[in-house]
Amino acid sequence: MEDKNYFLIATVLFAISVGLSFILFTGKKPETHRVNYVVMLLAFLFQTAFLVLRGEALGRCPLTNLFEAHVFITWTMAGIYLGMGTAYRLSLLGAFTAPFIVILGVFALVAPIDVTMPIRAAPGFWAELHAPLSVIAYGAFAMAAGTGAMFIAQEYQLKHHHLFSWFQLLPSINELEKIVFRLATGGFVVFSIGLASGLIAASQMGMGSRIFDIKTFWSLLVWALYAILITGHFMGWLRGKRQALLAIINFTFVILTFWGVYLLSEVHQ
Amino acid sequence: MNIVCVGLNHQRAPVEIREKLAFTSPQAQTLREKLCAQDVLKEAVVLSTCNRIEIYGVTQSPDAARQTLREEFLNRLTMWPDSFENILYVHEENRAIEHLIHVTCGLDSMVFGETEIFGQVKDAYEEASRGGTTSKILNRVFQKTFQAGKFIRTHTAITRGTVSVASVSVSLAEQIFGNLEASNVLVIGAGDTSEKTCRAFLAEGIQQLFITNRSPEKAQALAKEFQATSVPFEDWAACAGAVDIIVSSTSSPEYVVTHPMVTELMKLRKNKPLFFIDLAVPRDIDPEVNSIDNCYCYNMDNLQVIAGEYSALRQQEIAKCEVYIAQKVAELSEWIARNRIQGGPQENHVP
Repeated sequence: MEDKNYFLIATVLFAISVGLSFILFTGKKPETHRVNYVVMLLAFLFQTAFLVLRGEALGRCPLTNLFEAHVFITWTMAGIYLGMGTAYRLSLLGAFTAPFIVILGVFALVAPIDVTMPIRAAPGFWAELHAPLSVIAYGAFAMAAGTGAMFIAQEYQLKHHHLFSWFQLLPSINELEKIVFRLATGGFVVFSIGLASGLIAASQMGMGSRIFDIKTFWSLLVWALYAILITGHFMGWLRGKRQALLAIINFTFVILTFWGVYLLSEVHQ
Repeated sequence: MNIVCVGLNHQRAPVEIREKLAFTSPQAQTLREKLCAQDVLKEAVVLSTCNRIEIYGVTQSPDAARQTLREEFLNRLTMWPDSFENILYVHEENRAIEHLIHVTCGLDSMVFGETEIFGQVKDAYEEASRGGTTSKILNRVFQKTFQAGKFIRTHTAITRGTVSVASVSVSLAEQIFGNLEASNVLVIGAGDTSEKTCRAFLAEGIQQLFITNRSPEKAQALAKEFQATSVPFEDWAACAGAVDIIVSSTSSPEYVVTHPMVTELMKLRKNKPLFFIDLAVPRDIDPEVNSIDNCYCYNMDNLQVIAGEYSALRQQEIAKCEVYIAQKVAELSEWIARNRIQGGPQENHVP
């Protein structure tokens, strides 16, 4: 079977998970979260199968084009969810994650972005580390945004004194705030290491000032946006709803500009 | 002789109106004495709680009594709401007795089946009895009502589950803070409601409980009972920075917690979540506080919606209760009718 089909199956399974999430939201069948978890786990395994097969074929980390970047981001998101979603009250995080994974997956499958890039010389340890770490960070940022959306939903109910049937299924807003912060901070640390490894790799390759192209400036902007989120949290002026909103805004910026910036950057292509 | 009940409750009147109409104990006493002195009522009990203000009376002229009692309510309002006619209810004879039993059993409460109202009705009756404004008929009616209340509480599932105002408050606090073991609670006011709330939060293993009250003796007594920290009323704002939950149930006619006060408090707290539970009528906490980021403010009316959901299970017990209540109303009705034939009520104590 072609490796891409594994990703297709994974996307279909994530779509099923979206349907199961709707059942969870009714609050009538809370046991559905177990089935949902298994479906997400299967989908994750199919994603992993794709990445393994593609990696073997390429002989390097499968991050050579936009399609693979899509798969890697959604794989990271699913992995983080599976790691955290075992806590019962975080089961609904899947409901906030799966739809986004499906949208990204369908886009990746439909758009002509799985382009075979010319094989280059082995990029070296730091360059090899740069791309996966950056994409893993995007996955963490995506999950921070998803958890931020949960926070907004929970906060809306508490503020407006109108509790839906799924109110009790969500974690407390205190816990959600902590999770948003941890995911954003974790992503920020990984992203920082990714950035640093990219700069080291560029230096080793003797790229000089060519490294400071649009993608590098964009990355520094993303780094600054998350630095603001973390600093604001520590200083106390970016807590609760504001923090959740910034996590969503930051990631929306990342996801909307990533493709354009990638295509404009000769160095990163 | 006719039994009459005129009043309003949380289902018909919002907290803005209830807080204007609420009676303090001395005000209730004055009203009862006035109504009896003017011969509008032969006997009178005034029930004034956070959720209802009702006057129960015995009269020889129901039309005049209805009119006078209605005016008593209207006189307490500076502005008459357009829908006042719909807000006020009047029950007579069997319907009045049935209503009293419903109220006492918590069947008409905001939190369906709650038991706090039983004590409040009992207090209202005992105050009236001590004040000399009850006699044979209301004595009998209230005693039988209390019997009915006890029976229903024991023999049905009407009080099962956690649907009291205090437990609903705890449940909301858990949705904000998660585990309450690291939370500190400040209770402003040392009355019955505060005591119940203290118990509910202590049962969740909160870290520290602070109690403050205008009368420091009451705060100290309550603090001693719960191994809590008593705080002088003028200093409560200073310790509020260290608390996560503020419960207020004072009888203050003005806001105890204001918007500017909380804005400053949130700076001290670095905008960490703060949960306000306003159990007082008139309200103690400026509702605008809810508009401040990371502040959540719930008053009695807000809790009604949540309590309504939790009480769905208890609603299933209504049918059992109604059968028993109908039986009690019939017994009392028969007794009152027999009493009329024998020549009206006399001053005596009901066994």
